[in-house]
Amino acid sequence: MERNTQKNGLVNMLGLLVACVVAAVIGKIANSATSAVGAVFLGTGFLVAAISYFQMRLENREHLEHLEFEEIAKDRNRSALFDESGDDTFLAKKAREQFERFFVPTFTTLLGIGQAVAAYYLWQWLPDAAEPDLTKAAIVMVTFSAFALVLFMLGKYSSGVARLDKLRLLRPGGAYLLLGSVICVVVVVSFAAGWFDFTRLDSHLARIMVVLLGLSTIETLVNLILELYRPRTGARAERALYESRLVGLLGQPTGLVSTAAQALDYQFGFKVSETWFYKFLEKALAWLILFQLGMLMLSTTFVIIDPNELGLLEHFGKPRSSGAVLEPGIHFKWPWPIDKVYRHPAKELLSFDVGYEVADKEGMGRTLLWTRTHYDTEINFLVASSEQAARSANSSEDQAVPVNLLTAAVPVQFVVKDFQAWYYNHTNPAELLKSIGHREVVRYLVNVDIIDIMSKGRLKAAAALKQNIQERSDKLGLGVEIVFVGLQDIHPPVGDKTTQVAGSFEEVIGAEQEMKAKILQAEGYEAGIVPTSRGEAAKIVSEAEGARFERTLTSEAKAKQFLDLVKAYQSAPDVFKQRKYFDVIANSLTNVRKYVIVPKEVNETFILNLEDKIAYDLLSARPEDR
Amino acid sequence: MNKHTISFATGIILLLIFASILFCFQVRQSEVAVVTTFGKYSRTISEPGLQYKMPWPIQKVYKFDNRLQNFERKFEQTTTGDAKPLIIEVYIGWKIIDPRIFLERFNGDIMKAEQNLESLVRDAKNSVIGQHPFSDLISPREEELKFDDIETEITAAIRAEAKDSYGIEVAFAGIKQLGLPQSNTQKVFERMREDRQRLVKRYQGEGERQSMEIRARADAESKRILNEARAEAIEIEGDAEAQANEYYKVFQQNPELAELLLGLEALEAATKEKTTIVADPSTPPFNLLREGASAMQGSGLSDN
Repeated sequence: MERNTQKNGLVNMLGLLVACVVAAVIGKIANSATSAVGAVFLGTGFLVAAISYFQMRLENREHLEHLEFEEIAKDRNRSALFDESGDDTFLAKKAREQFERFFVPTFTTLLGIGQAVAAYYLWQWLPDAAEPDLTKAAIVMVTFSAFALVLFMLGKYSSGVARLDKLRLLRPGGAYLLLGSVICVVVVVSFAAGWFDFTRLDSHLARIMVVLLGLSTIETLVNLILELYRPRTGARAERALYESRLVGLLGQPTGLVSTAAQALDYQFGFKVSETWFYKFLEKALAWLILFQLGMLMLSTTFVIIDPNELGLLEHFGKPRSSGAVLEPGIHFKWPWPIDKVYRHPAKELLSFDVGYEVADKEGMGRTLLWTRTHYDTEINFLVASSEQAARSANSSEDQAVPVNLLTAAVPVQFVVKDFQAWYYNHTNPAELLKSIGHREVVRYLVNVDIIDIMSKGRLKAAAALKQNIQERSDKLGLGVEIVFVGLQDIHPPVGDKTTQVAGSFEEVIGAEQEMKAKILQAEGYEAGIVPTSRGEAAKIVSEAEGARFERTLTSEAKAKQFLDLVKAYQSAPDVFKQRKYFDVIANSLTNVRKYVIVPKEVNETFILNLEDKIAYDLLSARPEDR
Repeated sequence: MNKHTISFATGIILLLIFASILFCFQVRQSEVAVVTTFGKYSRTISEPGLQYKMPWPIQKVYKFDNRLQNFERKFEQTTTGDAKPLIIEVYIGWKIIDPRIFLERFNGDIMKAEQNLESLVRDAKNSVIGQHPFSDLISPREEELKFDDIETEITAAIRAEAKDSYGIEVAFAGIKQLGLPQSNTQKVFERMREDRQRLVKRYQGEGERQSMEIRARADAESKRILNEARAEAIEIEGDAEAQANEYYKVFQQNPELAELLLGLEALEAATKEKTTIVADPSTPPFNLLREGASAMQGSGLSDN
């Protein structure tokens, strides 16, 4: 019996070791996170099974020693040797006690630390873990299914025989074997989910397993603390220190059901577990699971396509000869994996941008200027330069590249018009269409003049680009309809601080405006001076006319006056003369400065200063003195 | 139906599932598959549908995407036939046409195939561009441009090698982007700026010229108008003089009086403003000052 028990422990240990190695290798080659975390559990199980195995051997030796001692005691009928029994007499017992006192706590401590470290590193690693490699799904699923079966049988046997008191040390290894079986099923489920496109399930299940590893660590550490306060009665502990209740629970989910049933019994105060409903559930559970699976399969016999989508129905991988493209609505089909439907938002208006990239279109400023970059990335396109090309053609030594640079932002909008062509002709049709868009913009710009494209050629360019992209897409069988191509930005590059290319284009516009302003100023001057001159001319002519009137009328009046004066003069010539003379003297010399010089001698000389005073002093500042 | 029947049914279902996994596989419309037996090539499956095989490890199935793959990698500097630098990015469309060769050469690894394809593309691209002058790629004259021809030449240069050695067909090649090295870009910027400055100067000069022309024309017009007016005024003045002379003929009736009146009129006009008269006491009426003084002396009223 003991020999068989030891063999059983050894098989458990080796089974867990092989399962651990296989899980680690498959986790590596098939990118399975659940398999990788499972390998840690199985590795822990191997260590626990190993220490159980050694502890079991020590207990067997102690048992043999005890039997041997009893035989000797019977033979000598309580001889002196019995009385002289001491520590040196039961070596196997002493070895077992030493093992349990020192080695087991040390091992358990190291096991707890190891579990904690593994849980920490696995938690850090999981976000970076790749998705499972589904090309190896068949091998993985077959291998783990086989392991699940073997581990389950070994675990079930060990757990069963461990109910005997002498074989209780088979229980920790048995629990890990059953847990290993569950882990193998989890790995199979994660790969099966991958077939249904739920590839992230592997990562989610792996996270749950890491959390359980963490809880197991905490349990191990709590057990260690409780061991310190356990009364040393000399009786053997019912459970080994390194044995995990959590692992036992996880390895035997039926234990959970019975525990839950017991809890319900306690809570309701009567035997719920003996009611017809509970018994019905217990009996029909397998049927219910089959029913669930059937419903799951049935749910794959129809598909609902959303308003913005189209679906592609494949029968054993081949598109249906008629009705392969599914329009929005409900559609019935053969269950998975006979018929599969691939959905795509093919009715949506799709778009891409040529010449620029912007992470946040909403965050762009409200004012877009040539002199400032508009987007996160702007591409400078090469544009032909007529002038530079002519210069290069004339001079063979001119090595300057005959181009200008232009910044262009061209949004392109399109819809899928032939879904089968869009889906089946290219692996990445959206990326190819973007490349075509780029190509057509580059192709168009290398043949146009920069000023022309920025002004009157803009509309023509947008129409030509739309046509060219459409034609090339049709030629490559993309199955799209180009809805809109816009030249929303097309301007000279911003340049750097030194060149400021866009700024120099603005300067030209400024200079043109300045030229127009000068011309307008001159025209204003012309518009002012000519009418002024005309007015002045009219004034001159009018004044001349006035003068003529004045002159003729005055002459006429004077002639008439003269005739009257002749009469007066002829009547008293001298008196008339003198009167007229003195009238003039009186009128004319009233306000005139006059000097009457009275010489006393004939040769007397008078010097008069007739200069006007230039400066007036304060005393002579009165206006009347001037 | 007892518990064993359910277990049996479940077992059969699981068995069928595992058997189908082991013996069947699907090839999609977008796929092509190669089946190997103990590692040795057995057959190629190009038609979509349900297919059968011996279970692993006897037979193994390799599936490849048979749709056109878009490949673009490097924005690379090269030189045109007339030694002008250029940065160019090319995209190509390729698909697997011989899955067996593709499997043998690259073990079915698309990334590995594209790494090798990249060398072919770079070589073809640089060779073809090196055969053409810059104006074949960028030119204002449509008839000079050979943009499409260059793409066709690149495709042709890659196609044969890719088909024979890699088991793939290169369907097309396109030029996705053209650019200039940074130093050349800087020079182009500077030239563009100088070109604009030339226009600025031209506009400024043109503005000045037109302004001066308009002003000169306006001044000339103004002078013409004024001079015409002055000429007309002179004519009017002459006319007025002629008319006045007609009236002044009456002065001939008494020239002496006419002379007197005209003289007095002239005197009055001449002494109207800022005039200083220096007169001796004999000038009438200032002679009255002397005669008055003599009369005062004769009557003894004078101090002297």
